[in-house]
Amino acid sequence: MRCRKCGEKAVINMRQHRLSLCKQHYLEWLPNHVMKLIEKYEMFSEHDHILVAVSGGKDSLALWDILWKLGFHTEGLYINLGIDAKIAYSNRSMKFAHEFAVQRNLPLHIADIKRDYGESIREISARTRRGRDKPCSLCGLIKRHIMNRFALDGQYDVLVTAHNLDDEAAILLANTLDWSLEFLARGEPVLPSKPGFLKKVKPFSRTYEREAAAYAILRNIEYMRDECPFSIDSKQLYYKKYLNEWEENRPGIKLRFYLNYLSAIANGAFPTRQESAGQLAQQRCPQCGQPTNTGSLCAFCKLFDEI
Amino acid sequence: MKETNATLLLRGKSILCHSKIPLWKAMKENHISVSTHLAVRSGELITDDEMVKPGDLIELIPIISGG
Repeated sequence: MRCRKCGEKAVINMRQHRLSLCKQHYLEWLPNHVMKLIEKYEMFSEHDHILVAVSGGKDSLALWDILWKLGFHTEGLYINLGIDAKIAYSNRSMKFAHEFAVQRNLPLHIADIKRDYGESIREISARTRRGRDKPCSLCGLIKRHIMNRFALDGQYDVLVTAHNLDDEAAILLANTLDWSLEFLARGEPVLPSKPGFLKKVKPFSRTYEREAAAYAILRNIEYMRDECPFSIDSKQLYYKKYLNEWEENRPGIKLRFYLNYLSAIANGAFPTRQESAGQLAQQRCPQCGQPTNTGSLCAFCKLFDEI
Repeated sequence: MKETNATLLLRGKSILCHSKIPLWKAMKENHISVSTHLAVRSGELITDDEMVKPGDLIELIPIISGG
């Protein structure tokens, strides 16, 4: 297979785009592809102070590398959840993020839930019903809370996460099957700021997971390749498995699913996030001050109030 | 290992496969999805239409993550 741009040997074939590229042209193409999305949705500009949530995995490090190469003013945030499971998962992931930042002279901030809140995610999972049933949802809750608080305290302009197209399609499929109208608005590439919430953007939301991995490999980015030990039965992986089977037979099905969903939102098919979260911003957690709709402690503070 | 075979390396496990066939076919014969793996041969990323050569060692890198 040959590069469509120069005829050299291709290193990647993106069947959904009917495009095969050599190393050089792929490493030009993906940053351009991401930049177009940043501009289309006015995610941020070169004047903004950007916080990038990094996990030490391929997606977040590839995205941070692209933003760095594009000249944006970025800092990283790694949240150490204390996941060990005999493979030192969190500490090894943190090491990849740290080495990446050092190599590029980029600031990396570390939040550590064991240090800051006294318990690792395994310990929290073991004593809470939410954690026992759904450790991944617990992880998401903790990360969202810490990211938002850190980003607001640090007076950043925008919080960047590396959710890729596969993540978005899997969440969309799950919410569609559950017909969760309220959550169906969460797949937008930009979640605007509102009182208590920093603007959150997803520049990789049209980038296949495969494309992010290829970029990381071609750029020689060392990243955490082991799967999170808590994710074995995760719902997201379950849906990804089926989406990838469909993708194999019908290239582009994930992209079309997501893009047509965005068109549906634009045409008013679902309540927008501003509408669905309108009440959320009006109440504050008496302990941490973050927005909540519980009428008392927010879900995050409740986790630690149960001790 | 027979000279006509090649090896796919996946998550530290070696899997013998036929050579002189396209990589996608070697992966399919071993029930490995081409859409969820990338392939590296001699340090270079390769596409799945590449022919598997006798004696090849091809690392397959899973690309799915999430939780």
